[in-house]
Amino acid sequence: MLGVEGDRGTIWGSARPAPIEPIVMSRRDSFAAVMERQLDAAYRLAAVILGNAGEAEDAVHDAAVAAWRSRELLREEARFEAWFTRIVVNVCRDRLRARSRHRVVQLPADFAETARDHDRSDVLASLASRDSIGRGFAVLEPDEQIVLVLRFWRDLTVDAIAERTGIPSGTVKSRLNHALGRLRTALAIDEVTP
Amino acid sequence: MTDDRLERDLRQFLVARDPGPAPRSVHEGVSAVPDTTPAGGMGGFLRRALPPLAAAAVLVVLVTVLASIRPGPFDGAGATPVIGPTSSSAPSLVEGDGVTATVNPSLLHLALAGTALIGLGVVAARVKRRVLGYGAIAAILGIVWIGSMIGTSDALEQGTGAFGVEPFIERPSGFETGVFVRAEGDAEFRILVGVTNLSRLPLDLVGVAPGGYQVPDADRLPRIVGVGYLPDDDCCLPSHARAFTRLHLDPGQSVQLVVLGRAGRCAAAAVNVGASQIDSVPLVYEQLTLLHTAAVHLEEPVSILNDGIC
Repeated sequence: MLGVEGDRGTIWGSARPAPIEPIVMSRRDSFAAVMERQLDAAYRLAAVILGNAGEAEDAVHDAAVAAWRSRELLREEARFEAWFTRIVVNVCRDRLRARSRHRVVQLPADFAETARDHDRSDVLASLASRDSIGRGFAVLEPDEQIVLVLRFWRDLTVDAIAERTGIPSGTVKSRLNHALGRLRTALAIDEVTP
Repeated sequence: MTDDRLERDLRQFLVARDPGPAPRSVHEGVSAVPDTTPAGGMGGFLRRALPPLAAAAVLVVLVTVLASIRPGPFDGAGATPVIGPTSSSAPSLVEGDGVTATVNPSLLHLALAGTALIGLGVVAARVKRRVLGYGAIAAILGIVWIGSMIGTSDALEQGTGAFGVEPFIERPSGFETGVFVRAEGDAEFRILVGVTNLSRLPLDLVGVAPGGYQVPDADRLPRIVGVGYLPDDDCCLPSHARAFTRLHLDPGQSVQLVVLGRAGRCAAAAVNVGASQIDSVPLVYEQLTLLHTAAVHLEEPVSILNDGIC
């Protein structure tokens, strides 16, 4: 999985980022090497938060620029993953807030493949359910979307989420609880709306 | 929908958003970041140093404001001496009372305000949390608001109250305005003038700046040599003036001042050759720890006749 502390679910499976060795981050080559090891994880996180792969590319680049500029603030290089994740999360939060009402929604990458392998009705049912979740997810606040992604996609613990978002653990718990409640409400409304 | 079902659907929804490993373009773009992005250097140092400096400056400003806007013993009419006697038992006004140096804006204060504004600007522009950004903007507006009210020379004006000179003579023919002092030689005279705090913040009157002309042999000409005040219960006779003490004026509050002057060696009450005039009194006041000089313009110039040959 992707830099996780828990081992829940292996749906998407991927290599755990390699541990950071103590190196001098201020050097260009060292920075590039450390960044390279985190890049896939950061890109995927940004894409899941933003729901848009193209925008995720820009977000990761912005995060890398911010990280390079503020690299001297990282006191303990072994914590680079958490530190850089926090920067990525902040960049994504800003982008979510700045989004206009009209947004481009990408079809899932597995749409065509899934459609070949299943009955059309099953695919439509699956997409309908996903759309329903997507609509509910979209109405959540950016901070709520982020904690849901970190918890249910990246399977981080509450404390790990707190470290990567810069908010207290108690706030993470309440935000998770609130986000799930709002999502459930949105889905219930979606079900009764023709 | 059950919790398990919700969690499962949510996980599937999020998994479907995962595009997999980053494309080559992302790797290439990020690897070029150190080459294409200017290093922090002094700019980075300033960006890091300014917010804490700004916070310290704001703290100083807040403490100063809170300390300055203390509730004074306001009696609704005149100003209240900050220290010293409050009644007619105070010593009488003599030459040299209340004379203080002219002040210029403090570089320290200007630097402090500038640092606070720049640092807060950086905070407002870069901070991620909205509440901090809004707080920084509010602090900027607060400093600008306070700054707009101080440092101006119009905080003090001649307000309600008696105005006149002692001793005086009738206005000689040939003069359309002015109150005239009867003085022979370098005699003492007094100007009675009411002064009001027109600003929106309290202030403390500190004294009067040395008046007169900055020329050699200046004692030939009229000059201000002291200032005192009249207690509320002793109105209108300049001879009853008390020695100056620091005076606290709330917004809109007035005080009856008595300005002590010397007429100059050339003064000659009986000779109508020419006249020297005093049309303003330079008062020094303190507001939010800042010292300022306000030229309080008199409703009519105070004139001293001279013999023209002195």
